[in-house]
Amino acid sequence: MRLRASPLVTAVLLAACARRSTFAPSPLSPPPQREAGARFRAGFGVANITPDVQDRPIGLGGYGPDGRRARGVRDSLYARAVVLEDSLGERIALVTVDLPTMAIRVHRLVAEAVVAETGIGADRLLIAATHTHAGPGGISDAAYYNAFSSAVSGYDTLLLHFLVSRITEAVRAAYGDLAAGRAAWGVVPLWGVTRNRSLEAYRRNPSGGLDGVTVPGGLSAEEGAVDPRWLLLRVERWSASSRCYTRGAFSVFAMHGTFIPNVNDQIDPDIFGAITAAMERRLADLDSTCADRRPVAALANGTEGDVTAAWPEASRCPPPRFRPGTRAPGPRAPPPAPSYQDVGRRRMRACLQLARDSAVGLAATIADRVMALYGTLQPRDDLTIGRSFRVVPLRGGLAPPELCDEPLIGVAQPGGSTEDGPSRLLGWRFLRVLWPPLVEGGASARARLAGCHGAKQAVIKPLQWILARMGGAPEIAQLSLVRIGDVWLAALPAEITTLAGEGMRDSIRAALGSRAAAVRHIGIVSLTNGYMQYVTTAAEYGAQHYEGGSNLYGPRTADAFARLLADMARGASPPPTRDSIRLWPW
Amino acid sequence: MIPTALPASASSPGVPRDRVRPGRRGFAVAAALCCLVTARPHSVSAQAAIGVDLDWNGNYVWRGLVRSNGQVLQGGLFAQVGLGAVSLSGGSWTSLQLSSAEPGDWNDGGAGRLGWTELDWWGEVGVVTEPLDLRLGLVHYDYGGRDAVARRTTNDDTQELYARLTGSRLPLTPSAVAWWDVTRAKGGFVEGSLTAPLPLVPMFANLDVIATAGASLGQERDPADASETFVAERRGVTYVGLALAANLASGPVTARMTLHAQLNLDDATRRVSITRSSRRLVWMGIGLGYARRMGRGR
Repeated sequence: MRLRASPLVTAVLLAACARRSTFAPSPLSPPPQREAGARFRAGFGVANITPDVQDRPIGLGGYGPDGRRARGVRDSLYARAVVLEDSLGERIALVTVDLPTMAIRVHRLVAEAVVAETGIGADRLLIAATHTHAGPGGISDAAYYNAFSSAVSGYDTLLLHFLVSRITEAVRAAYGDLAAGRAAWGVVPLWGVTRNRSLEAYRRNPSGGLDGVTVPGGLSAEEGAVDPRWLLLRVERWSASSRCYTRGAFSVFAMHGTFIPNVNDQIDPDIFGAITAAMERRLADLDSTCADRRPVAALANGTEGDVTAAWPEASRCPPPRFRPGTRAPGPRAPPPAPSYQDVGRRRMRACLQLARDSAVGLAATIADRVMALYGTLQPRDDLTIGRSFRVVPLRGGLAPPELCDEPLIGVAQPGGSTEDGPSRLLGWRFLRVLWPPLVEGGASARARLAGCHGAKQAVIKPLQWILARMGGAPEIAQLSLVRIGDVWLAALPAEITTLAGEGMRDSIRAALGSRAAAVRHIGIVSLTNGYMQYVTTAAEYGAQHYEGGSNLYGPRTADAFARLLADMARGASPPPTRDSIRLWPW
Repeated sequence: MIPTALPASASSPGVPRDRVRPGRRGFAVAAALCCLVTARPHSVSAQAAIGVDLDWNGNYVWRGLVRSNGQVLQGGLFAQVGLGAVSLSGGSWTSLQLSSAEPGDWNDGGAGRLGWTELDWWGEVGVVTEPLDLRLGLVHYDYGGRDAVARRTTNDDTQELYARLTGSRLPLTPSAVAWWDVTRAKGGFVEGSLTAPLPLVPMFANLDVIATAGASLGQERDPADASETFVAERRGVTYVGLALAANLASGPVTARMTLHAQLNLDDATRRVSITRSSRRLVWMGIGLGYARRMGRGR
């Protein structure tokens, strides 16, 4: 059911429909089939996943109540798939989608649709959302996000199945495109294009930064507190008939995909779309590239939890203000109720236009620097692929012991990230006087730690307790650990902060022991195969900034995932089974 | 002291009826309501809004004066077209007496009467320039009372010019409105209010604390003209009031519940019936509103 701007009604429906649920099976891949003489193969696929915004209400997800209903399409959204297969028959599908978040149900339904034909089950499929906030919401597994993450409340079954069909199309196309290929990894630091938006929380970490990364001079503290490494996989597929290369890339870079502010009402892939479009244009210009084939440059998000793009300050539109009503009251009607209203249409248009222009400019700069690296890489056809996949219950007896029993949202969350664009709720407090206000840091962190959630002050804890039992919060997480050549990718269904990701890398390296020397890089891929908001370090959690307030399962969530990834790296993780997990469709 | 004269004109010699029929006016309201409901957004090219309000009130009190001592159903329609900071709007508002007030209770239709009692038409020009909202308008009051003891009869039909100036800054929102009766009383009335909107539940509900006061500046009784409509016995402040209004909003729909308390300072505003007067008056109201914005302002 889709209800425009009526989360209150949705909350009532939640209560009314609390006992319903659906089950999403986890279709696993068959064992790899080794064929004599097989070589490394690669294939690319693209599908347009832009929903029709004219027929039905589509809420732009991610900005909560400040997000708008989509009124048109400024630029199309795409699913980009890169399927790789090594000489042993091991196969992996790396898919990026221009969506705010990914859902477990989407991941599993795509896997179910393609596994028989392609051998790509849930354990071989990575679907990573770019985190654009100008893409559709309403497909989450957790009711909380469907109710509150956009201006259009409710779970959208039709949209979900539309997206599943289109993403399936991209994976099938990439599988069907498999042909002799080669690939090479490269890493380049891109300083100055991102900055840390929660520096106070970042500085609470005992470690000084990232291993092997030296911050150059001349940068601000915020610009230096990020993971600047662009991880690039150059992929080429040889077309024997046309005697040309289909060129493509799969990249991981840490940057919130939220360049475009919340007043936007157009479907738009945002900065990630601008970068991939710029890269694809440059790929198309390379010599011996197949002219009749569209190059594919898939870009997944990295440890972007506390990292924002370097947007100009003036591109952030102010949130709506709580002001007296402005509708025509006439002389006799009751005075209009105050409401949240935009601050000046002209000002809104100006900041939105600046954001769009700046995104295109920054994307061109980034694409130039990445493509310079692309040109230096020497692709090889002997890369091997390994993978591990695990489904982790977040609640109940099988949940990792590091996690708190109850998921809780802190008071630092509803107000949004102050640095990255606060929501209308920032600073709100009941009747203007009662404690605590909805703010980041400061009063949102308990001076005296309380229970498992430590410093977090919860937003109306009893209500969250009830909502959690209705499927309001994420209940499972799907983790993937993939090795392609000498680079590992750890994919998680959350927004991982810079140093939480570094802790996971350290844990994986430690688990690999002597084998770690052969690991060139470990990339953390956020927002993949599900969504459970943020994961911070325990120290960052203590500061209760937006990220800490959005870290649902407590301060040791990052520790839990680091341990689980380490288990997967050392092969100690239990093999995946054909499970069937309860998901709530509201 | 309770004045013996009715504080409103009671000169209509019309035939008393148990119910006052709205007649053509009712059809006009129904037609306008029909147009409102069936209007499509793309039919309006400019930034526009249409809306409807429906309120139940325990008493009909207007500018401190009790007009119907009993339950009333009141509602209105409005339409607004805006370009930049300037808007043009207009609408109608009507009042129906729901409860059969006790004999002697004041009622616009006449004591003990039910049904339609008033239909107003208004139009205004608004200029919204932060932090001020200025509206200049004209309202026509069309009364349905025919009874000899009606509080307002067709003989009281009148027009008023008004100017309303509202601040749009929080935490306190001041508002002042000045009325000038151009047909009957040929005098002014000013009303001031101070509103403190307090957020209750983000995006859904807020509580307004509203302090009001009204003063007659020419609409008081004219000793030289006994037939003239008046709202006060004397020039000056006629009442002070305090209201608590809880507003709930979900999309285009708003609901509100209001509790009013009023301290009556003028002999006219103290009157709730022919025989009863009170310095204090408390009543409540419940209302629903629907407003639909169209065009770029959505």
